[in-house]
Amino acid sequence: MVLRCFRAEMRKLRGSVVWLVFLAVPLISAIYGTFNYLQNQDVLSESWYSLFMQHTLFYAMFFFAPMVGVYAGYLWRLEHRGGNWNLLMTAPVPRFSVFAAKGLAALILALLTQLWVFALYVLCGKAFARLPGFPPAEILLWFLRGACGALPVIALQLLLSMVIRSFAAPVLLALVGGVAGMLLCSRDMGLIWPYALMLLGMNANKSENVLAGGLCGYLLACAGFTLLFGLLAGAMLRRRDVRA
Amino acid sequence: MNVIETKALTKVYGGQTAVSALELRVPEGCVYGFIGPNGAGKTTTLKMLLGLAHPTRGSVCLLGREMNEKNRLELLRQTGSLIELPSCYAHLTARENLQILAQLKGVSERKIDRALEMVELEGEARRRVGEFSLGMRQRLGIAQALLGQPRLLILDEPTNGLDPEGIRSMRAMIRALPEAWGATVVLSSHLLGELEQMADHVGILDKGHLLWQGPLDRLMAERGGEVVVTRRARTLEEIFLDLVHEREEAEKPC
Amino acid sequence: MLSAIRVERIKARRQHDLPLASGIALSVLLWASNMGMRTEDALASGYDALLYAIPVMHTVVMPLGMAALASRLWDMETKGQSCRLLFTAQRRGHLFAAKALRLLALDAWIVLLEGAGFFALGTLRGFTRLPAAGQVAWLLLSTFAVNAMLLFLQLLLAVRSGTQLLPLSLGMAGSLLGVFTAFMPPALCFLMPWSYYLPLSNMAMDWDRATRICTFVPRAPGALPLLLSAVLGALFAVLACRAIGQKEV
Repeated sequence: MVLRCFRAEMRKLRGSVVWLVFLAVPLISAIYGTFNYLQNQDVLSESWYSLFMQHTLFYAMFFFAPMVGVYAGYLWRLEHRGGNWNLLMTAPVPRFSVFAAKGLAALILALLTQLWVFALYVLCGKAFARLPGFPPAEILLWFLRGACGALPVIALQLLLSMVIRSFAAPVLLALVGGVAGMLLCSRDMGLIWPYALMLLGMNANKSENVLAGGLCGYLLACAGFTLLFGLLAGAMLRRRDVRA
Repeated sequence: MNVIETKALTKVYGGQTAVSALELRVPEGCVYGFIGPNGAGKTTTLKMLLGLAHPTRGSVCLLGREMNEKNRLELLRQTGSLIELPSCYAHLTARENLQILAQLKGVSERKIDRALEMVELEGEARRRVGEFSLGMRQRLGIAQALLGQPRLLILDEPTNGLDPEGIRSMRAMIRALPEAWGATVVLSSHLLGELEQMADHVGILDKGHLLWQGPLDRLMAERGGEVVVTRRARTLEEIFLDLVHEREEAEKPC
Repeated sequence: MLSAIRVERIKARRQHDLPLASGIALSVLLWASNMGMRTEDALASGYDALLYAIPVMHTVVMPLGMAALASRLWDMETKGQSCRLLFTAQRRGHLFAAKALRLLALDAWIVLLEGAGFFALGTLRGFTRLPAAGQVAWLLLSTFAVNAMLLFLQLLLAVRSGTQLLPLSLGMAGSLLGVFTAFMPPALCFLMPWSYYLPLSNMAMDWDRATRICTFVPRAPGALPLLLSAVLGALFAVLACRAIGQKEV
């Protein structure tokens, strides 16, 4: 069921401007990060770690959540227009499958974004920064961890975009959430805020592992928030009348 | 006086002629039915009458004056319209939507209640339009057109989404408007049976060309056949299809 | 014209524009509150640190914030398919002017909120040396000007594209580009409207690599960036007005 819905969601993404956001934002981040690294090599002396920090600094702190906000907003916007809610909710699939399918589509986009950021990081490291060898395995782990941290953001943004029939408002909330997340991370309270989890997972702006010894707690927080927002969405879809 | 007169009104989109050299004559105080199949150019024509689309060639005279950029809004202040779908803000109530138009047209807000009464929406005035059914939004669109008792009403498919009862009461209301406040009504519809009961003048459009216009009685007398007990031998719908078919035949190469 | 303004106020009901605009200002203040200043010297130059840091924060937050505000304001007309009706009842220029006034009002609200928050933050954190009134006034004026320029740019994009996706995407890209150009020669900054907060900043940071001490030094940003913001803002406004004027419905 979910797979059928998922295929339908991916079809809706074809030819959309969303892919422009997907391509451009990490690219600009990579160019900026590489340039900054090359200009400050005397201070940024930790090779692949320093380059990683420069590439992911702004991306993880401020722009990943709004990007997910744009993906989620776009996926729901198609339904908010033209009475599509009626068509969607009368399709012979469980209501939650619709939410789950959109979640899967947004997750694919988020994972591809992470992959794209990683690819740009490696390319810039080799081609421009001329760094030796390849990135440490630890950094790949941080990217994967960051992908886990993306899950609660995806679930929350999808919930917000489902309920708030405005495209821009949830994206703005994501930006504010990201700023708040950065603050809470600086006070070691990142685990209680969904927007901070991606930041923690990516180890943004730190070269030592901030989650050393705390990976279980982190994964629990990711799973917990994702479950919470998913359950909320399911409950709303079941109980509320469909408004076209 | 003709409330609407067009001279060689033409609209070309890209290489496609949507409306060709239209010579509309809508007499004052009539209910003018504008008939045509999908893609005939009815909505394009109505948009040009309201200045929403710029004619490629030709001119439009409304209320005895040639419409231009300077006098357009002044003329439209005496006009009410509903084109395609009703225009409304879902986050506002029915009353608030009409307040917006009342402000822009300089119409007293007391007239809002009257407009809502005429379309039987007075009980829903304080409900958000986002909660309205299709028929209720359509009624609101008509209420917007009626606000301030304009001299000219232009309604595109006004009975869309209405139930049979709603269609009946809308029909009666439209028929009564010329007498109520001297309004002239131009309405387009696919429902030829409905139009036959509302209009006293018709204009038949096909592929951008005006095939026939004039009093409905004259059309029926010319093409309707003998009066047979309770109804004519041929209905308006049958005559319309004949005219379209004749034109298609005329266009076929020898 | 007055009726157009009144009508915009009716349309704004239940749109929560003010809370959203407040959220933009508060996110900057929230970020600024995180600046670590604990020593006596740091508290003495606290306001200077804010004057330096806030334009950088603006470069990150404001482009997306302005994109959201401007695109929302036009999107209500797209959703309601209301242009068809509005263009028969008001001059298109009046519709633009009313929208522009609303956007400028929201811009003014953001700037006022930030101004109040600036001093509130300083008081709460115990900053000891008040800044020159002229410096704060310049920060607020330059923020207003650059915000206004971005608002008109985003309104133009929203009208032309008929969707919020393009303005928001460009807002996000603009934020990143704006931060990027901070490290470029100043001349390049002027090619990116989103980065104008930085050349308009009236505080510079002097970082001593040897002692690792940073001090804040007032600088005169000059009138050119402000003039450019005003000129570009006016240009985008004219183009947005034309876009509404030429819109086929």
